[in-house]
Amino acid sequence: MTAPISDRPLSPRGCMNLLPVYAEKKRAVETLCLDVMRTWGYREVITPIFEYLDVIARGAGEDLIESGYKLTDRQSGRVMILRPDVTPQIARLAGTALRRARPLRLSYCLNVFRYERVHGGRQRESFQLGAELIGVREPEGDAEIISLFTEVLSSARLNDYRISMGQRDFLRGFWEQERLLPHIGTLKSVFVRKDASGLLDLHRAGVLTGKELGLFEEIMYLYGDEGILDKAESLVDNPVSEAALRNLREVYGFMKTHGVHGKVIFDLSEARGFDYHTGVFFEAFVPDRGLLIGCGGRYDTLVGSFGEDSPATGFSIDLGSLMGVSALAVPERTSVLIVDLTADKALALSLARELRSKGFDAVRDIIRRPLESSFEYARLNGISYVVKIEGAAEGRKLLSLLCTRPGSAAEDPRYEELRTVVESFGG
Amino acid sequence: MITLALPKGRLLRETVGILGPMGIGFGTDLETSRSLVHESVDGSLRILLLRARDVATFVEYGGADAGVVGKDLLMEDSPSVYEPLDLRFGHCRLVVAEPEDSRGELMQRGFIRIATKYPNVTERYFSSMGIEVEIIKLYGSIELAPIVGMADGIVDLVSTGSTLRANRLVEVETIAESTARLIFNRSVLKTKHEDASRFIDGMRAAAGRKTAR
Repeated sequence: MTAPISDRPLSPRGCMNLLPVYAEKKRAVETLCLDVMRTWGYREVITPIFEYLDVIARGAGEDLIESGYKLTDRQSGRVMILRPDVTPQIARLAGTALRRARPLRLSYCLNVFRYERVHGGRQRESFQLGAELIGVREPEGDAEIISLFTEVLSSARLNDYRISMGQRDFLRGFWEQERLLPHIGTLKSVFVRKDASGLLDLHRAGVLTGKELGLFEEIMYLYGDEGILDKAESLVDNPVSEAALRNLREVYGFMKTHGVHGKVIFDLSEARGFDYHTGVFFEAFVPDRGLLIGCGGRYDTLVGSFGEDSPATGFSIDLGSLMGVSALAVPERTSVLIVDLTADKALALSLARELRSKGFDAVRDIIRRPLESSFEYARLNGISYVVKIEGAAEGRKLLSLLCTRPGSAAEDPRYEELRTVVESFGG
Repeated sequence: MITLALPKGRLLRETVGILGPMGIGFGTDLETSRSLVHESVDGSLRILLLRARDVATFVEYGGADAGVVGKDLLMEDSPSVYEPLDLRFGHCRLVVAEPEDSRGELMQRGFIRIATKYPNVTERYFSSMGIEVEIIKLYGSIELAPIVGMADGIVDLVSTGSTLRANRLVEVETIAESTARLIFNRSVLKTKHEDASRFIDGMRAAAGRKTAR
């Protein structure tokens, strides 16, 4: 049988319809990750799915606003935006309702909406899992967030990943001179692509001096292991970049104390991240898959754009990407399909109630059909057992416990318990 | 080992030409082979042969560590990759062209219809010029569109200009110069930085020698 092909999509492209197998895995991964964050004192919040555009725009940069889906508030006529990012919402909470709690530690697992080129395989709706630490300026705070980030990734059974760390002010220190100000957008896009020929173009256009060209080319290659920090130090010619480097070393020092520095690589020429990022910035990559799985960093000016000023840092993980590489198994459940071939279903329903109270999944077949069809249904839905109820002599009923897959009973630690319950009903 | 995505055709020949001096050779002739995957004799490089348009996609999504692709396609598709090296071969220009008898009229109108393989670049270019453009997306023989009256002009890649002349078209503007670029997957450049740097340095030296000759 082929599915009918519709000319018009039935559901918006790039949005999430999570079918049971995937939805259960998502629930398992997010619960585990939120629990890990809770043990570090990070408590879950849930924010609204849409916000007033002008409010979010105070903190979120043009890039985020541009990619957002907008709609109009029926009541006030104000333009609203489906949240393209959770961090500005949390910054709003931190600057207003939660302004007294410092340090403030919050976690979330929420969907965000961004317009992406759909053919690129990216989702327009995606789930983000994250944590925010607000009110801490100290490098220990950055180290805590990155350490928590790595603990969450490891707990989700992601074994092979690297954290690439940089500091936003490092590049800023070199760029922010009066002469280069009109060209910062171009410089940023050249560094985002690590495009050395773009620097040469800027030199030919008279923007960069010959000396700057040489210096910026060297800076562009400042990625690798710890050794590049020393190389960076030898290139620094301004106090902003110098402070950035010192800050990065301090954070890295605390990460050594946390014992999570083994996964770290450095990239001082990384210019990615949202406009609101200010200091230490980091990304997690899965080397073998060439995959970016999450990122984060400091955003010291964002909270202040909604209320009381406060330094902050945090991270977010793309849950879909994490699930794609997570080796985490969904906990096994012991499920039973109850097929009652007699007219009166009293025994089936009371058996079901008893099984559920003992923590088994008890599923009624209800539809009248050949036993083989019920078995097929059970196998398709991951149900390991069928209890068949038949009429016997003198109005008695006969129960039999059957396995839908050979060998499942032998591996199942709850099989004996299940058999005892079924026997107590006359099986 | 690095997996390098290469487009079939001219850029493949040029790239193999600079891999040779780097000591990276292949047992077979990549240009005539029907196989899509090749490993170098020294085992340091694996080549994937693709359509030019797919090279950046493979690199962006981690199907390949690196690739060679024209700047024109990077401008058109804006993939999220690093472009650490300009290989300086495969030079061509992305131009706006109009029929000979239009006499420069194209850029003087506020509304035009353009046939092209590069709808994104075309849109960005004309919008920055303040000209409203209707784009007809074609996959080849772009030069035909003005001849049959489907479009006022074209945006296309020009190497020598002979195809334009043969179809009675003239260039009116250059949008960009394009050369082949070595691109890298973002994750690979950082997480395999030693292999990646060695490969980039090798390619830079070999491409430099070639240009100097």
